[in-house]
Amino acid sequence: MAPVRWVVGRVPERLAKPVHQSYLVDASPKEAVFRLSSIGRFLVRLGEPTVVQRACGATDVDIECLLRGPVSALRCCLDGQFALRGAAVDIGGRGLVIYGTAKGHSSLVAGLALAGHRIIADGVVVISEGSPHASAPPEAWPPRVTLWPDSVRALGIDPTTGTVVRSGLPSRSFALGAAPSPTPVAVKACIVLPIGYRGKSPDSVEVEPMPPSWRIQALLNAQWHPRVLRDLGMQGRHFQWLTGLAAKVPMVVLARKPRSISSTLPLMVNKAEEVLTWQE
Amino acid sequence: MAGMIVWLASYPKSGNTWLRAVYTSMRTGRDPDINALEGADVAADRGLFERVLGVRSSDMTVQEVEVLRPRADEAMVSEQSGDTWRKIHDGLFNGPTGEPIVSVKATRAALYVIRDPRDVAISMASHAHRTLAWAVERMGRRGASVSSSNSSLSDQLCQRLGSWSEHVLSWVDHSRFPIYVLRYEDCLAAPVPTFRAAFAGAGLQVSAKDVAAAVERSSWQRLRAQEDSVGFKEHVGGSRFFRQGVAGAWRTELPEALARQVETQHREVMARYGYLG
Repeated sequence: MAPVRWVVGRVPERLAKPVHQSYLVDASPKEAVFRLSSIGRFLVRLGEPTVVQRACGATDVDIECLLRGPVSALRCCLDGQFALRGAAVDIGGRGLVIYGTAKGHSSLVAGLALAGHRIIADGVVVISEGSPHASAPPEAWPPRVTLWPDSVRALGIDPTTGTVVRSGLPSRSFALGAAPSPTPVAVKACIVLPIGYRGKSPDSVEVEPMPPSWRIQALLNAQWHPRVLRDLGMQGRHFQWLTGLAAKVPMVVLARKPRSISSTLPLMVNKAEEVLTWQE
Repeated sequence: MAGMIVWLASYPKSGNTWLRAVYTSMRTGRDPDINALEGADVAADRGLFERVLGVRSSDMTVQEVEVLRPRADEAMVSEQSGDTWRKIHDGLFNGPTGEPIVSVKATRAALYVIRDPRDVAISMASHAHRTLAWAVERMGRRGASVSSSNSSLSDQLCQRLGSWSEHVLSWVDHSRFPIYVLRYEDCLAAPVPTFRAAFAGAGLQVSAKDVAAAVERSSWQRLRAQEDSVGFKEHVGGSRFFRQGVAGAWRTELPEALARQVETQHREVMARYGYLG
């Protein structure tokens, strides 16, 4: 039986003595509150289910959506784990992590899953310290991939097999590909999707190794809750973590024109599979 | 708050990128790298919004995002030691709570570039790879928005532009922070005094000599040559981003009927800024 991930209860608007306070998050070393007025308040304590005080009109689907995303990432912060905003896929036991400022992480992972690979995570990717391994946070297990209608069409997925992600949004989540691995997968490469493509053809993609000087910044930009980490005093440790990851794992930029998902996705999938064979 | 934001605001295809090129060149003292222009963190940048707030914007409704955008501005400037110049194409409309789409508290000033809408239509049609009639219709559509598709996710958050007239009025008649309006045509005719006065309007005092040098380094010919040579990451469609950069191209490129349509739709605002006779 799956562990209880959340319970309904009273959640304070603010923590009594937070070390971090922002519009959406209060955090202290042992607990944190995430609040979004249209959905509710979430109290996160290590070792305990998340307590949820739902807003009027919020559904279980809305609650689950935040639990799988920012709230699970907040739990990672309290636990000292490193979580990236992105997605990850297991290709023959080798982990490929995808992040970056451009949209398309989920579509690419879905394309790879349909090619027979295993989804590791979508939205929050937990990466372990030392020898980097990728996994989904417990709240987002089993991993599903969230897709918008254009990607669903481009991938030839039956839209009726998807699950509503948020009330009123057209995106759906799907369980795709081979059964996910229950254990973390060793990260062997990272793909960064940047905004901006200088090429002329709308149907091609650019693939190039990421310059070492850009790697740290790209990882910093993809971190979940960086200001919470800073205020919890974990910035130094996480920076070491990032530099280690940047040094150990090949990082590749995959750029394409915006608005070209349907025409470039098959090529993106092929290139992503090739990246694991790159030797730096 | 350590730093504040200076918004470089305009309806799309009105000269915003040129303004950023001149500003970048002035700051660096070098030829502007068109792929590394200052102000590139566009107000509706989805990635920046997610990073500073710790949310996944694609899982949020448009209304939720609009409520949070001013908070994202404030979170962003709290990380900055000085002022940040940022591009914005949103109309300055209020969100669901009645608050403007940008943070008033985090804003130092805005520079608003206005351009003859008949020339905007030509540039927009080329940029979007659509017809001139499409561009004119789009510019006349009240309440229009971009990146608002229900079928796909954009790299940018939903932006309400309104019609061209609604966009202009939303900015130039706003009174909660200083707004300096500059006409694109004046930038072409007398670039040094126009840009210099605009920068002063944003609290940046610079010499005429420095502005003249920056204008020279940011000439249309140089920007075009750079685009042809290395490409431009903000170019999404059409033959090229930097096309002609001239004023009055509509006289030869826009059919008479479409020119009249623009003038009818936007008469009041065009007259206010000297675009009618």
